[in-house]
Amino acid sequence: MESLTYIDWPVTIRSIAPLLALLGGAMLSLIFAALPGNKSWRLEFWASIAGFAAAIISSWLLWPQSGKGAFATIATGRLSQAGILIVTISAMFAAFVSPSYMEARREARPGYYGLIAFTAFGMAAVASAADLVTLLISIETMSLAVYALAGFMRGRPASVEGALKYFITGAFAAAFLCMGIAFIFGSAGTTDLRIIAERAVSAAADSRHIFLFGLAMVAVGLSFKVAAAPFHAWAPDAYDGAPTPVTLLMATGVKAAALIAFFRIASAIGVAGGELWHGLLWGLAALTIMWGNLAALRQQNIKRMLAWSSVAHAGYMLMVFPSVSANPQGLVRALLLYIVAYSLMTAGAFAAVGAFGLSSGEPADIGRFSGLSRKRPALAAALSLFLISLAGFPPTLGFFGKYYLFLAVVRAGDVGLAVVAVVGSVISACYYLRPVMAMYFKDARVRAVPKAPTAVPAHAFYAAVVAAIVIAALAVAIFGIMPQDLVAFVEASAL
Amino acid sequence: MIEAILFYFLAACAVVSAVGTITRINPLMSALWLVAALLSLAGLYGALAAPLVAAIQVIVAAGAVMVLILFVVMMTDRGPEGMRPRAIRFSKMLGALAAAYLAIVMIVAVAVPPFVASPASGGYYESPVTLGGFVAGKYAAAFELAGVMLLVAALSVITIAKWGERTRSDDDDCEEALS
Repeated sequence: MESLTYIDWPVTIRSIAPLLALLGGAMLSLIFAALPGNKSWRLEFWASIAGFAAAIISSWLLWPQSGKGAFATIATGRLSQAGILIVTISAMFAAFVSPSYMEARREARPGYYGLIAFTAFGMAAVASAADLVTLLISIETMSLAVYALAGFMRGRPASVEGALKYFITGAFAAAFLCMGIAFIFGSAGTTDLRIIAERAVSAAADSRHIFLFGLAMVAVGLSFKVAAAPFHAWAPDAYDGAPTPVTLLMATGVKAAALIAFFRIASAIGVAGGELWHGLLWGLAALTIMWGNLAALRQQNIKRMLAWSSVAHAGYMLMVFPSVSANPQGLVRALLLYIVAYSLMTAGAFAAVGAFGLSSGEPADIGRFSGLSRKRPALAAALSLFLISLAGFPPTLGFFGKYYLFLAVVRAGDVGLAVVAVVGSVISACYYLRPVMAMYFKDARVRAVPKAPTAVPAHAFYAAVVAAIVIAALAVAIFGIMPQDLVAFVEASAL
Repeated sequence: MIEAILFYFLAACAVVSAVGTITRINPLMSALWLVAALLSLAGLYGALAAPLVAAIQVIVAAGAVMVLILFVVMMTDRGPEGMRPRAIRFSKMLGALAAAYLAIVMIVAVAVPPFVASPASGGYYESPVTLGGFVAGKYAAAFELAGVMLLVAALSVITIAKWGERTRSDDDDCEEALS
């Protein structure tokens, strides 16, 4: 047995450098947060950004090597590095959008960026967990930080209510996950996913039911985390109540990390599930797509609409799971590409909504977007681009991601599911285009009010918001037209 | 035979005291029922040939953690009536879900023969040496992660509860978020 005394430290540190960088950034921002004074959050902000940057660089450098990890419980292959890149960039978007948002609401208190950095660390650990115990602990690390972030504006009842709902259902999901892991351990004798994958195929008939039961429980626990119907009930309230930058983080990074972990489990042991697994996940994906899209249709509040749309997108991404054992390589490529596309456009959409809210309070009603194209044309154009991409119109990244994903699902044999997804996409066009119509083709209904809101607040960190929106918009537009590089990256990551 | 009787007795104790934990209105009573539940679990671990885990359960969970919980309960100092509405609202929702879950477990338990000796149960966890080997060897990364998780938990609670707080009157909201 290997033990700490015999570890080759340089190799070990190098192989988990991105995780250590994120942890270091988080610790540093925590120290800065404890400094006295009202402006300590600025140092905290920069410390967390430094951690993200270090993690992105080290993960980018490690990606081509796809070396063997030093720990049996942490995978350091290309899939992990790609996952770390995705979640860290999501966290960076959230951090960029935060300062002006929190400052405008007088909620800039210490601890916020430390929590975002710890969330990023947790997400990166979830994306690279190769063992069920590590997975459970890292999911909890991630979730505990996000619960607090969701309720960060504790003076607002909606924020506290959303956080509390998120916390209670999240704890319930953790219990499911833990129980499922115990059942899998009871039948397979190990929590190491690679060993389970070997044993799952030849699982003895007498412990097979226990194994399947554990597998189903783990699937339920992770479905809570990705907000798949019927385990999504917390999502709209939590997304609506949380500060918009945190909603951005919950909708992109947390979901991406959980999906990558889900894929690791599914590709390792989904094959043992057979028809039962196929039927269960098929139904889950179809239900999530339809439920999310139909519910989004009725929303008047743009944050709730985006929350429901993120439920629907979770459904699209769940489509790769039913037939995962048929063609894991092709499906993980489609999943990764879609995660990248979805994260970019959702991050952009929430950033734009948050930027609009800076000047006029929380933009609750879609009707309040009326005439935005004349008041703030650039912001309206960016938000329209993200919404059109979410709906899946060419030539955006959203269209390409959907095309690639649906093609992979059809090739894996789930034609019916792809049809459901196409129907869902058609429905989604109705509600995504409503804010666009309001911005471009309607005049502001209330003439008396919009005196104050038109001016952009002069804030030092507003440039960071603009940078985040511009980067996301460029990525969505450029990769939508020329996706070759992104596809090459994703295809190599699946190895 | 005696083992089976002991197992079912302790299991019944654990279930009854767990129900007691979530149905008491007085938080202090809930905490005491939780002590009973944790101790029955420790007994279960002992009956399942894992004396070390049983000892740790008594020392850490039933000892240290419970002292913390009792501290918090006594410091928040809310009467039983203050706890009432929330307890009822959530207990219905959770109760329905728990009932559904238990029904599934029972169906599985009836449909499938009881647990056969799984590959895991081989008396691996009897000695502190093996456990230490796991913690410092294969599961070193998970162990370190658990440390980070505890730090994050503390940070989360502090940011929600107190840190950077100005004088404010809506303390109730904070406590609701905490409890």
